[in-house]
Amino acid sequence: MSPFHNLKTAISLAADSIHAHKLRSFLTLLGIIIGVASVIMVGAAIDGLGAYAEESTAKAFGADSFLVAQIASVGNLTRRQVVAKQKRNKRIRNEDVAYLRQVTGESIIYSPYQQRVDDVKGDNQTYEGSAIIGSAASLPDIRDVPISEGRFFTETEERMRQPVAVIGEDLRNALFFGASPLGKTIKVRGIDLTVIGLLEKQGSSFGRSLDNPVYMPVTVWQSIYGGKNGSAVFGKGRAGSGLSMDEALDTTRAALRSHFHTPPGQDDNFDTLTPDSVRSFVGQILAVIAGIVVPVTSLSLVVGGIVVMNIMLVSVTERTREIGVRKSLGARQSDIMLQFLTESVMLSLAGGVLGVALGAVVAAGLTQLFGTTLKVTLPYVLLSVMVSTVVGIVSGWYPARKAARMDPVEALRAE
Amino acid sequence: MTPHIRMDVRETLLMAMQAVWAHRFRSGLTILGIVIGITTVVTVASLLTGVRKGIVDFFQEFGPDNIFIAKVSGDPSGGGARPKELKRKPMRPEYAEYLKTVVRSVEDVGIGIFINPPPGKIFTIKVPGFESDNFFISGATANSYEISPREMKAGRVFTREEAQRGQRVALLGSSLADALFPAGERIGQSFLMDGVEYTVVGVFAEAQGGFFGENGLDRQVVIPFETAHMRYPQAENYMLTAKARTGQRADALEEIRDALRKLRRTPAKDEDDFALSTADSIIANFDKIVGMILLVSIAISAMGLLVGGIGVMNIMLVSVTERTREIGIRKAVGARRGDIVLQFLTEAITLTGVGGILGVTFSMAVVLLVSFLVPSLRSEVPAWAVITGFSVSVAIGVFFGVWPAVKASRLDPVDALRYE
Repeated sequence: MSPFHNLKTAISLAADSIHAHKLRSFLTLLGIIIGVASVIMVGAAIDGLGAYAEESTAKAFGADSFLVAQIASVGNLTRRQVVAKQKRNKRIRNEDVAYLRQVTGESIIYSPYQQRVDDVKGDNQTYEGSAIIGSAASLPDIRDVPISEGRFFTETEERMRQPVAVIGEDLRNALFFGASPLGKTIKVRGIDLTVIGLLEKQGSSFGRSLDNPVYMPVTVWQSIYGGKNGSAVFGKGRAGSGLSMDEALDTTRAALRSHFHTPPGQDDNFDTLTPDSVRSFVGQILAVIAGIVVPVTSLSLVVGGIVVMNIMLVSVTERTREIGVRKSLGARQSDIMLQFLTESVMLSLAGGVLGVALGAVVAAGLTQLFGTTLKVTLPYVLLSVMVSTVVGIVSGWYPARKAARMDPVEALRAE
Repeated sequence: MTPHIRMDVRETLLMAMQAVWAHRFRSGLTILGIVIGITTVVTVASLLTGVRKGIVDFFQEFGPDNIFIAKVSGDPSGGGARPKELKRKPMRPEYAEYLKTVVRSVEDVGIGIFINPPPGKIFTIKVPGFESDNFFISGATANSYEISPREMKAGRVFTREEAQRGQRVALLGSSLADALFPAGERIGQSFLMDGVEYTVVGVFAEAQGGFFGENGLDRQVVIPFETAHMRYPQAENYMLTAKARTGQRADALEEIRDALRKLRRTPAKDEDDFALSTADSIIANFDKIVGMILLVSIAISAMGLLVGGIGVMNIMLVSVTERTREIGIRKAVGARRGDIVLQFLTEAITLTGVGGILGVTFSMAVVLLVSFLVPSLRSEVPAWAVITGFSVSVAIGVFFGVWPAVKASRLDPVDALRYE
């Protein structure tokens, strides 16, 4: 008798048994389904959070750009850390940016990036709390600056300190009541600027609107707010240069180190930030959340396993005679074990698959309802299927062994 | 007429316990499911309640009749304020006198000031052999501690005379005192702070509550307001604390608002350009967030309970099938449907009730363990959690046991007796 034949027999026996007690089997299934579905949903929620964070990072950074600044870090720094960095790291000034451009030639694009929160005045209205951003004309080449009307400013305008600006949707609605802002004037700190471009609507990220910036040439920004304090610098390898982001970052770092006379072996005396560093930070937080929430949710799966074991024990007791008959007809211990193990694994696996389906359906429903993305990802699905199989084996083991060890004489004698 | 045999509660309970005991292992597993579910829910609820209590206690310290007046809403020491609020005119210490005399529902007004180091600088506090930068400086008028009393571990608060003379005396928070002067008498000792020498006249007891066990007040240095003003004249992060006369806090809130608007010449159509808060309002804000987290956590942990309940239903159904004959006999001898339902329902409730008691006990143990491992987190199982946990377990027994019980009662005695 080939082992495959044994397995086939076991499966058909198990299917019969499950079918014979439909209600009981259904309730057992239900337990596993709920356990698996809750794990899937919790996993989907966490992954959804991760995807949301990833989206927001992409909006801020662009695919292959990096940031260099005196102080740049993910997450909050304590006051002590800020002061330590201020002492140790150098500010990146206009002349430093010029040096970088000169040294790296055409292969890397740089743009200074300075930001301050301030009020913007229109003809009669004032918009409070806008992000006033000064950058180079090359910023759209480094990260996405999607323009819906008009254009971004040019290098010439930057050099000539033309007071031009690109504004976001929130400002257009507040100051110009939804009309086209092109050609109109806005006032920042008493300086008049002409609007030459309008940003596409971007929505919000972590509760803050992304539609309230005013982009202006960094030269103009510095004439309003001063340029002594140094700025952050975005950088990216130019498309044709063949430089990957890491290579471009390394080249930049090397150039800055030599410019700042940093001795070899000492840490950089400036901060760098890449999309990866942001991602790993977010990943750490999510891992902590998952580490707490997932085990708690999994407890329901454990309870489901207990239900399976309980029912299997009942099943074994009920079929004592049947087991006795099989044994006296020549079934070995391993055959009996296989029969009952198969039954419990089939129940659990079916529950696992259905639970995944249920979890996916509920996740999809919630996505529609709340608009937040809950993605059902493969790792959690595989995890659930595996775990439900394991639950089936573990909870079925003891009852199956009990059945296999029965003395056929006693079994046949049972009522 | 067949005599009707009435079952009394004790007999029902006894029969249920016998039935449960007869299939010990099976019952044990069923109870285990309920235990896991209840333990999870009660533990999560207790831990979260402990966190909330810590936060509530922290704010209760500030006094129920007090109104805090600051330039910005949120943390008055200035961290994380919205930029619009930062631009507001600062509070002025002169307001205190005005409010005290003009607003009748106000009994007294104390002034506090938060001293933040200028950008690029850190304050250090030094004693021979030890130096630290992990502390906060604030100044307070002498009456501040009559308005918001705090327990002292040693010494006393500075007096009005010491304050008026601008003397360099200081009060230390408990952790800071331990760090600077680990052994011996602290009162009368001196330390160097930001280049100036101060003498300790009082040490606060440990502050109550906090966020996850941390309370910034334990690392605070408080110097007289006048001294702070002389030494740090540019600091303008004032916070006034007004103590309302008993029972007049609501009136005081409105009157203070009007008075301040007049003082600061706020145009009638503009919003307030300052923030008034009370301990209650702050706690209420926090409760919203904590409440949501509590709800989500309980929902997640309740899944296990749901599955446990299904297990109970399943086992009860099996039990009913096994005892079909017994049910037939009972009915033949005169038991009514209600008696059968009661019998099986009691069995189910006994299972879940025992599970509930054990579950609550386990969660107490878990919470105790957590309080050992993370002593700063105040964890205990509140009474309502115990009662709710037990009631829920009984309810589960009723809810999931009702159908099998009803099914049992509907059996035709003739068929039942015939059952093999």
